[in-house]
Amino acid sequence: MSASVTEPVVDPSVVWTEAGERLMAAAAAADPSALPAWFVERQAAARATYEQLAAPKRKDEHWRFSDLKKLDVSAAIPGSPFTGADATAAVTRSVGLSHPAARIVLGNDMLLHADTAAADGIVVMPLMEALQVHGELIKSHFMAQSAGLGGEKFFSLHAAALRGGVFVYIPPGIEVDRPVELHQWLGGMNASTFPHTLVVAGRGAKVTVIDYFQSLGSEPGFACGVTDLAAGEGATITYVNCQRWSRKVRALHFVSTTAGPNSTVRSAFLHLGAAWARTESFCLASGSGSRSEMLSLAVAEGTQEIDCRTRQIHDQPHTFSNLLFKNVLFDQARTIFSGLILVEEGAHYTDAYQTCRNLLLSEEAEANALPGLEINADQVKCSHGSTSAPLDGEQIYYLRSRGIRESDARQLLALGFCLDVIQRLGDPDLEHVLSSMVEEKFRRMRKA
Amino acid sequence: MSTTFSAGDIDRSKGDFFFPERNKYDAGYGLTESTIDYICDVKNDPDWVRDFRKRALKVFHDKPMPTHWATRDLENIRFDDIRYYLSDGQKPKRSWDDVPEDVKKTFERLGIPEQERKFLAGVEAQYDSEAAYSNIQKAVSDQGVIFVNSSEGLKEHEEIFRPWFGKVIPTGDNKFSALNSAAFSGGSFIYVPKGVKVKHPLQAYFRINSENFGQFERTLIIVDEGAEVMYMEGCTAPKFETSTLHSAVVELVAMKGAKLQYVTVQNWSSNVFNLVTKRGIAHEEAEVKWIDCNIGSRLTMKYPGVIMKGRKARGEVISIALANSGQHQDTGAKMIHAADETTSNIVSKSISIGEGRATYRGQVHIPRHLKNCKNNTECDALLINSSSRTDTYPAITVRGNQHATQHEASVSQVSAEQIFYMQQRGLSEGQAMSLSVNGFINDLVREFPMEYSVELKRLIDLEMEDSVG
Repeated sequence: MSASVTEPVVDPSVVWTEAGERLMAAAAAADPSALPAWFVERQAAARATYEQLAAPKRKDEHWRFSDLKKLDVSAAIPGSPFTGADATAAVTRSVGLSHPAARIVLGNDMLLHADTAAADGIVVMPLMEALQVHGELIKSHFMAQSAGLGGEKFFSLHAAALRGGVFVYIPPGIEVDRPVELHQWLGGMNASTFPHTLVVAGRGAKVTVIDYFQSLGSEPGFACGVTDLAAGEGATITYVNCQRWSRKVRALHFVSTTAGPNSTVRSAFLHLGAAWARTESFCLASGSGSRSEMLSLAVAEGTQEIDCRTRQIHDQPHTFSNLLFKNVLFDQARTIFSGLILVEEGAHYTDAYQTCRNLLLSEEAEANALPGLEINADQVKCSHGSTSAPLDGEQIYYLRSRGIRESDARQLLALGFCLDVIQRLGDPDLEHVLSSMVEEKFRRMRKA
Repeated sequence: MSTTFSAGDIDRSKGDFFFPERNKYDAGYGLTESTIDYICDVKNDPDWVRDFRKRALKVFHDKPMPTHWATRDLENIRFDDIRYYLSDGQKPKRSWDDVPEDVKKTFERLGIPEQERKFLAGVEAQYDSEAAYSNIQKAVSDQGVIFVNSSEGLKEHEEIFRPWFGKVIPTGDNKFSALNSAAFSGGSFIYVPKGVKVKHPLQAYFRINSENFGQFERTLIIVDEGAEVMYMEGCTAPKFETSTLHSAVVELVAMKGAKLQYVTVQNWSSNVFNLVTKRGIAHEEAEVKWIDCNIGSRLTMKYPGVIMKGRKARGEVISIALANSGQHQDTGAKMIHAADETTSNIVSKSISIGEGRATYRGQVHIPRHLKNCKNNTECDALLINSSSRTDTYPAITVRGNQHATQHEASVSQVSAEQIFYMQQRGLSEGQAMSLSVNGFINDLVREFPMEYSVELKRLIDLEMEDSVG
């Protein structure tokens, strides 16, 4: 046996060190006098943490079933600001609901367009600007907790490389009827983006934020985003993360939720794009009477891999959380769901539920489920369930007996499986926007 | 009204007895190549076994502790402070009269003689390393069933033993299967010939009776085409001050159409590390069923598995775990589907009392080239006290659109209203709790053979006795 023709072995830690240097350089070059001192220090500390942490390995329990080879960033470079036609295209293509309370468009983390005329009494502005005006408020919520789900190195990378992002603040008592829309675009060969969304809702405030992530072209790229949701006492936050990156993008996203007393926080993912996408979501039920709901729907085809890791933490008595993650798998798609409900000591009277449902529509698709429970308290109601199955033959038969073609019947049933998640958001207009995105993906796949 | 019940210590007096040690052979402390040679010499192992053990020793030393997913309590095992081989003598005693008086007394307290007369087809009781008493009822041996200890099996029946030995669980499967492969002694070898249906369960009792002494039984059961057998294994151990290591390997082989049930009631004293690898292969239309109950030990890590290798094979794990203060029951199941139309079922129920911790860890694997495989997993946990702990960590991989799996887990408490109701009807709080817990696992207890389910209920009553107050 000769080893002369084998590929040179690239040490992944070297790749990450080099990529990290490139990606963090742009943020490090920013003028520190324009930013609060704590933020500059925070970025420097994140840089050090990034360099210090080891790259994930296949055997790490938090990366079980993940295909780390698919997370290839050896070519990733910082994204350049959008110019001319690109900027115009991004703004015109940023279509969501018809009358949002505010609409912000960003290209490679830089502000392209802001329409906040209808946003009365609330704050929706680029994070870097907000740091100067609402520095203290941001400081107390900015990346306050790491999910601890294996992506710590990338979490630090995000903090160190951050140059843009959006800050949404709803002062106490204000209820915003229409959603706030954020359109975040990625463009350019091997470009990288670090989307950051911070939503703070004061006591009794109410808001819905929809975060759309899209690629301008079909080039490869890298996205590493963070969303922090902080709900004050009695506040209500609904957050939708709509991932439609191009099929060559590698994406990571961290969502952490802090639910104060009697607050309600709902966060939802819609995964339609990316070659490889991993989300780490974390919700902390930190106030008694808080309710947290986590939702996700992934429609994966081709060789897409969608990796969702979640953690529901209860550290106070009388809290509620519920999770529903659904995956529809076509072709050779792979999905991973790894969830944990953690009920800390003393968090008695916790109600926590977790459901993962996988619909397998091809012979080669693969669904992995790792639903977990860790219970250290008493008087707790907890359950989890996970199913993986194809479409029900009887249901198809029924639809066919009503004159519907088999292929149509299959699509109808798959769509029905999906819509259940979207309907939980309880907003018909939003439901319409999101379900038409799912239908569009189905249509495209059918043509291909 | 808050109903938290504080836990007391368990009354273990019934298992808390031991007799003076009288060991004819003793390999001393620690495990080295010379320990292996000592064991081989004493046991008069053939050369291939000596080689097998030495290779395994190397694997054992090379493998890291699995603490990247398992509890760090494993680091408290002092491998150098353990004696790896002790024996009372070489030849298994064939007649009851030959068994030393103190050993007999121990077994009498465990109730072996009566049970044997009533239900059991054969007894292979292991006292320390070697079988102290071994007997197969005539009816069974007349059918051609081989039921001997593993040392005898590998020498006398090499042609049947060797092809399967270490094949279901390879030496390198994990650190503890390697340890067992290096130091094994005792355990059973059973062969059931084609078409033979053994009516009565075969039974063996294992005990640890020397301080700091690891017990490494090795069991291999082969059930030939169309044959059926049920094997029962029960453990109780005297209480000692320092930790004891128990690391068994059990391999089951069910040939075409065979049925094999393996029943365990584990009740080691609460200083025992019980790290066991158990796995079965089910060929075409065969069924392997593990019925597992873990009550004792400090830490048990045991995930009985079935590899469904032939079409329409079936695997099942029924598991009950009871974790009291100072105990961690880390149990579960592993179902590897490797043929079309295979089905597996896992039902696990755990009860955590006091500061006890119960963990379910499972793996279900259905690869892509197969058709019509099904898995059902249910795990329910019951928490008795406010400091009790329970975890569930299943891993399910399904490839392709021709299979169906479902997994469900729940965690609950004994309802305060139920207890109140029963107390109102004149039961003490302890009796009410006991009744409630027995109700929780009742549907699984019924899966056990009759005498075991009686014993199980008694054991649960015993564990619950002081858990309220």
